[in-house]
Amino acid sequence: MARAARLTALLLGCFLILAMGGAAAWATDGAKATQENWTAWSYMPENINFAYGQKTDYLYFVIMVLVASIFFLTEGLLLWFMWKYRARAGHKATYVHGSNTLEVIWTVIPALILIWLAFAQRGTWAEIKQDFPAEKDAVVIQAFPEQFQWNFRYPGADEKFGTKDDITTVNVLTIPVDRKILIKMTSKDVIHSFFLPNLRVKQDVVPGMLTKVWFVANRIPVWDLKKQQMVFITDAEFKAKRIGFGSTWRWTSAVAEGDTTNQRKLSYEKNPKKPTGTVLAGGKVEKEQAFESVDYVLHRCEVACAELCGLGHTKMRAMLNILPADRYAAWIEEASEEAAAGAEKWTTIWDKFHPDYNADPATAAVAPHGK
Amino acid sequence: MIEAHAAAVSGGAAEHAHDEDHIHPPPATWFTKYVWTYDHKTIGKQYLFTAMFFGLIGGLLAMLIRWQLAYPGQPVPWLGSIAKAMFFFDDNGAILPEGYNQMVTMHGTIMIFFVVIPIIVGAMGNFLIPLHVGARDVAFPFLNALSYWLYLPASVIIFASFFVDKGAAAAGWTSYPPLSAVAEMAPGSGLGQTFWLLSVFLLGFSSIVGGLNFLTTIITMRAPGLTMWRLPLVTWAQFVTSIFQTLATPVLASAVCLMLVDKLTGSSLFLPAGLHLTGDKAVGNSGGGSALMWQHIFWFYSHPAVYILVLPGMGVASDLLATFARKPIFGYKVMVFSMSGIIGLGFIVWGHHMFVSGMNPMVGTSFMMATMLIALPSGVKVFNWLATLWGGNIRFTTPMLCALSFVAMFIIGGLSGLFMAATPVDIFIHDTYYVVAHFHYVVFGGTLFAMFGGIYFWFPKMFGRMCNETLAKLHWAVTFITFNAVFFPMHILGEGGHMRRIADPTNYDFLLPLQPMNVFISISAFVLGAGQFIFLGNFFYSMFFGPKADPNPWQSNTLEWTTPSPIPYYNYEKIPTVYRGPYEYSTTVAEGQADWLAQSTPGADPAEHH
Repeated sequence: MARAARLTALLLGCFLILAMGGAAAWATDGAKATQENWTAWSYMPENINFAYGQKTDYLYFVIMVLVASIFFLTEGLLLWFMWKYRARAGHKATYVHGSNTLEVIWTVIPALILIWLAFAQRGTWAEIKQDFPAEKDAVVIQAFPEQFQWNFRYPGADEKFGTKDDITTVNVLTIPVDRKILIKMTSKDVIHSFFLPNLRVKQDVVPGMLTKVWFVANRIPVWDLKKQQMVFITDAEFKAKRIGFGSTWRWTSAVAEGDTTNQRKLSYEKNPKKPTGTVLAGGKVEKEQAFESVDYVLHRCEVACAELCGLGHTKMRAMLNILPADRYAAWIEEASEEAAAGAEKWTTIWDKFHPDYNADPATAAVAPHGK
Repeated sequence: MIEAHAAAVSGGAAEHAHDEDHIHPPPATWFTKYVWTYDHKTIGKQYLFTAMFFGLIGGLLAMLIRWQLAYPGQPVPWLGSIAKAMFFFDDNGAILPEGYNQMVTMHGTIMIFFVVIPIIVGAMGNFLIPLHVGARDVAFPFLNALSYWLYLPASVIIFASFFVDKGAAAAGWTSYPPLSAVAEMAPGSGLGQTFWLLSVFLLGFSSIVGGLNFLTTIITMRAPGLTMWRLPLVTWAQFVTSIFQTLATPVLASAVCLMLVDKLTGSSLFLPAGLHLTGDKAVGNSGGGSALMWQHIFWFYSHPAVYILVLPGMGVASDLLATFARKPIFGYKVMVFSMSGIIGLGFIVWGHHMFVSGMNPMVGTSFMMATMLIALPSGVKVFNWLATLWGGNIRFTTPMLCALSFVAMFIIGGLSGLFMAATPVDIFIHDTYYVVAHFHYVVFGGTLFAMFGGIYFWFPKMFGRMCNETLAKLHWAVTFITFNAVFFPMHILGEGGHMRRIADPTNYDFLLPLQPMNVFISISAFVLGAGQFIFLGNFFYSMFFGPKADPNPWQSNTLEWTTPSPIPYYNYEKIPTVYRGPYEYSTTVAEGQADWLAQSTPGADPAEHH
């Protein structure tokens, strides 16, 4: 039993280290407010949702620390035992059936860690999926996906759904920066899943049900012409820089000749037919500016469908434009006028089958299940 | 102590007296010996061979999936040109998006329902349970034959569905309605999906019948002296799995029935009002149903199904670890309790597949709590396996290498599950390759390694010959390395947000940087696939030409090793009497002799003196 006791001591020590690792991770909780990016070390797309995205990523980081500790502990012991207790001539295995002390230790300690983990995340989950912002405090947009496109509807200038000036878009979602966005969704046909990788948002869109997501986009995606890559900047940075937009900066994503892996090369190229274009500088619009005269080109994120929805599933992709408040307001005004003149399309199906989903937030009971 | 023991033995003997003087005559014809047979060992082999055939198909589908993900839209070498006519491919031999969806669906369906469950439960369970309980056959030999003869037509139907109009089912192995329920919504959702439902329905009955049979056999047919606490853990695992099978599978059968009703009679159990096809054409029969209901019923079975896949693997790994570490399993009873814990909790965690489905988030919270807890019994098992190795005298045979791989890979698969159990984190990684990596670590890294280990271990009992150890080790090494090269990087794909089941990831800008990793994974997968032919070659060559096996080549304790190799159709000429548990290795009782002590060797139980 002396060896069993030594094993006990050894494992206890390892668990102590593990527990300390967990405690250290817990202690860094206070740093959450100051550190922006908990997943910079990972392959995750950049997180621009500071409303709760950082908490999600922080949790990912904490679990990674925990899991890595357990991984190295258990796999390390496995390899060590394999080496140390390999069969040798004249060697005999220890005859032992178990140890109640050890069983208690390695049941209770993981149980405590798991229960702690379960409670540690509960608040964030509630924040994301239960505590939706009131509709009057948020920009409310409806999503009505179908095979295989994303349809969006905005209430337009009158801020009411189901009226003539509702704006509808297909495969383009435009939102203002730094505002709470509330998206109310239902599906026209099959189950789709609304996935915004940069905002840590994913929610199935189910026919016959209202599902909702909320988030805040705290960064604006722009394209750095010199580095030819996407960067995310704050609203203030956006206002301080010269940002080009429009057809002068032409998005190209071509596959190089002979590349069998479809590795598209992404860049903005000069449009030979329109060598000068519109630039935002210091909140003002400057026309007829040269292609090279900008710091960044206004870019966009992507919306993906994350639930198998049929043969066109792989192409069910939308663009997510994130604009400064003034540009967003200008767009709403313009598009709203245009919409009032046009005819409505998919919205008739929504309004016929789901009139209650348009209800005024002040009167609608907030039920988490949608109905 | 000794008197009590003897009384138990003689009491048991009286109960089983009728078995000892009664051996059925051997099967008289080729047909009753190999085809319509009641012999549990032959039925086990029938399962094994059918499942191995489906393993080839499922594996081929995996190769095609990997080809498409690495080289989207490129014609598939040689196979594409042969199979142009099939629905999968376009005129150049490249995979079509709808073909890809069918491949993903059928790969999952075939691997889970027609390969892993039939091998780990059908083949291993059938072959081992009567041997491990010291019986001549299962409790209901006719039902046992029936369970195989339900599985076979089910597999014929699923295989035939590739060739029906518009191809096989294409809505994922989870078959979420409305996609699966309305024929116009996906190419495979017509006849292909109906075939899928019929096939799974039949298979469900096969599973229920098999489970009942195993439960009855283990409870009523144990040899004298063989208490439940003396059963090998592999049999305990089958016992626990059978509980899952008999209680959860009827629920799947009901779900499948409901969807068949929707498809065949135009009812609307899963279709809510207001469904429209492209072009705003209303779906005639939609109204009043719930799309989410299917997910609840389906996962009520399919989450326990995950444990049906992995528990028997845990049992096999436990037996192999004890045998080749030459040590009693550490914490035998705790191993059984933790498996029981998995059953209890396994029935109340299905909702963790539905965190982002639109299910009430408060329900999500309770499923999250239960899911966190189910990590515990699995963790306890890992610690006990490690402690079994501690102080051992480890022999690195191929079965042992497979069992060690099981533990190493199961740890990774278990740990990655923690991320998904954490609801806020799950939002991002849900339906990404993170999930794909996770369950392949459990099912391939875990169960499949246990399966290979089990086949190498019991091969001498099955066929009376030994496998070639060098080839077996080579197969293990190739599989272990390439398995990790394929599935570990999938965690990184998932971290990058790479969705599951997309036919062409290069459509998305944010996935482009991950594409070289997709290519790496695919090349590794091709090597992994090719490596399995080492196994097949070794298996079939050794079956006929391998060296003749001793009755007990691994010096193992359990009852089956007291029979000749291969085992006669009646298993035991005289029903054995059991004197001790299955893991009495390196006992002090057997000092100076062998380091093993068979369960049926008369004498004291060293565990009682210890």
